[in-house]
Amino acid sequence: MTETVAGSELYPPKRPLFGRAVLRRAAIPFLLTLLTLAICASVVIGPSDVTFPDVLALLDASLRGDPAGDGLRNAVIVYDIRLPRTLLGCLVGAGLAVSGAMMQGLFRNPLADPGLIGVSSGAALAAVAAIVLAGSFSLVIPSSLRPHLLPVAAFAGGLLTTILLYAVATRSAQTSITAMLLAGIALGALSGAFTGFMIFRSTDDQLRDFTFWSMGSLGGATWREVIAILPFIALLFAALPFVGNGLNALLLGETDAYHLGFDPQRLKRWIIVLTAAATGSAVAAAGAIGFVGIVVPHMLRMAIGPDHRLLLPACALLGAALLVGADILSRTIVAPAELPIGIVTAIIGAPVFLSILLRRRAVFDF
Amino acid sequence: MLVARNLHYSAGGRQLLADISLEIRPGELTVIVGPNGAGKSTLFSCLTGERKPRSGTVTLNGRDLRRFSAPELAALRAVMAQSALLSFPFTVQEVVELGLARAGTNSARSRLIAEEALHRVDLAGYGSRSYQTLSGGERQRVQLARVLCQVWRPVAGGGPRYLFLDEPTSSLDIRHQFDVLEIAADFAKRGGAAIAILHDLAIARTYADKLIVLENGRLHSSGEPAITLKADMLKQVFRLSDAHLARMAASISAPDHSSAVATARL
Repeated sequence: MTETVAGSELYPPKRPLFGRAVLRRAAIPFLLTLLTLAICASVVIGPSDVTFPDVLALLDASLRGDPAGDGLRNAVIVYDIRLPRTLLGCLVGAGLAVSGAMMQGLFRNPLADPGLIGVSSGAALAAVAAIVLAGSFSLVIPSSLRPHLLPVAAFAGGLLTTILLYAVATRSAQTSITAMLLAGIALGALSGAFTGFMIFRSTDDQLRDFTFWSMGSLGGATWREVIAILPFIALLFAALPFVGNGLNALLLGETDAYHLGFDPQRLKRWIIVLTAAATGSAVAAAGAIGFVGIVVPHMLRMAIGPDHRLLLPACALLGAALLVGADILSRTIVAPAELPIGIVTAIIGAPVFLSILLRRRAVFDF
Repeated sequence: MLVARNLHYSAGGRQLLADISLEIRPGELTVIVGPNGAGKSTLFSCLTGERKPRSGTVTLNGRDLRRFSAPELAALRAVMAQSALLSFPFTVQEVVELGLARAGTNSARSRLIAEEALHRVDLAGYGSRSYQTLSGGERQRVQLARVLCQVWRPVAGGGPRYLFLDEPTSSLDIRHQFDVLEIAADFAKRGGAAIAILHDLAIARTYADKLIVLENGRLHSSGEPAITLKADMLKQVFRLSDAHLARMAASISAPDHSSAVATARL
């Protein structure tokens, strides 16, 4: 009765250092601390010489009244450069990690990630198309709406890609992970080609380069980007308490979820819209940053298990901390130049992806 | 009471159910039998509300099943499907507690109910094991514990509750097959309604209050097992030959073969 089938499970049982119950209780406080540390570090570290005492002095000055002289320069660096960049990192990281966990629950497969299956590249294509077309039809769109154009277009692109993927990969209520990943590769290549073409043809100065759309960057973040993606990520967070139980039930299969009292069709529609909104707006603000959505849920599932009621908020915290940390690396390793942040996340993420495959090739086969 | 009237169901141009009318009464264990492809699972899923019949109606307590929302149905009936794969590392306890996902039970009470249900299916102490490391039979019993949690009391606020089991014994050893049927029979005895698809006619005969025999999507007969399970029916529905029946009879009368299964057969 106690023997197990060798290699049949994704996460082979090991004798853990702490029991799952302990880890579950400690998860949120620990991750909150980690995120706080990452945010502090990100505000303090940078190519200019604004250091921790300077930041403290600045905070002190801000609380007492207007900073002046040297404080004014520091205030610009902290409030207008580092802080929005850090917050954008938090929102994008949290959004990508939660979207990843939700999609993996929806597809019942730990390899489903918005970046891997082409949702991010679909969103990037739509964003680039929006920039190019908005340049041609600049009279049609009132200038007050322009900041929202990019996230909305990327959301639409992400949504269309997800629906298309789901349609391709799902036959009679069964989702084929092979079909999904292959369709993702095809869609990724297609939108990469179109994105490249549009960037090549475009003379628009506003259009950031191909590296941004394929590797991502938090550089040049302003409060405008933060405010533009805030509603999309906030929508995702607001939905967390309502989808956790349903996603747990969905892991048993759609039929069982229905028998347990959930409406799988409605749940699926919500998850597709929510993940597309979060992924799309994240891509619009920071380009297509890969692997966050696969690494963060995977690490957390090993520690605290797949219960989405805890997993999703934990993913938000760890995703935010991871991306802020990766951003610190990306702007310090080759300072004063900057590495695209996607390089850093890929270096962390690709080995994790491979280790999932090594542990269980079967995730491909059903 | 769960009542089906003139059910028809077809898929892919094939008629899977034709003109089926039946009643499932609380207080009874109803067992659906029939050869492969007779429409047992199709009928089963029409009765659980998963499939909508092409014509005909299924009513629960006088109300059309289609008018129930998923949460309303979940409060009245639990369904154990044939196989449950999990690609994520849930513990046994977590899987069982999914049965209470819609009940709004607090976590301490959920844990208690889940532990009791695990005890009921002879898996006490398995709570912290990973579901993925269990054998097929153990998984089946975990799923049974999960559906038991969902309708823990056979009769609750909304009246009697319904326990649907689709081949609940397919991976089980003989002892646990009996256990599962004992659980279903006990559920019925305490006022609930239990509905099971079974292949083992001996076990069906031992435990069922009522047998529903399907043949080619039609209702062949229904009633008490002692009346329904006749050699004529076995010949016609299950296409057993006289030689088969003779062999079955011989295995019963053989002196060195006195297992409960054999004596129960015919």
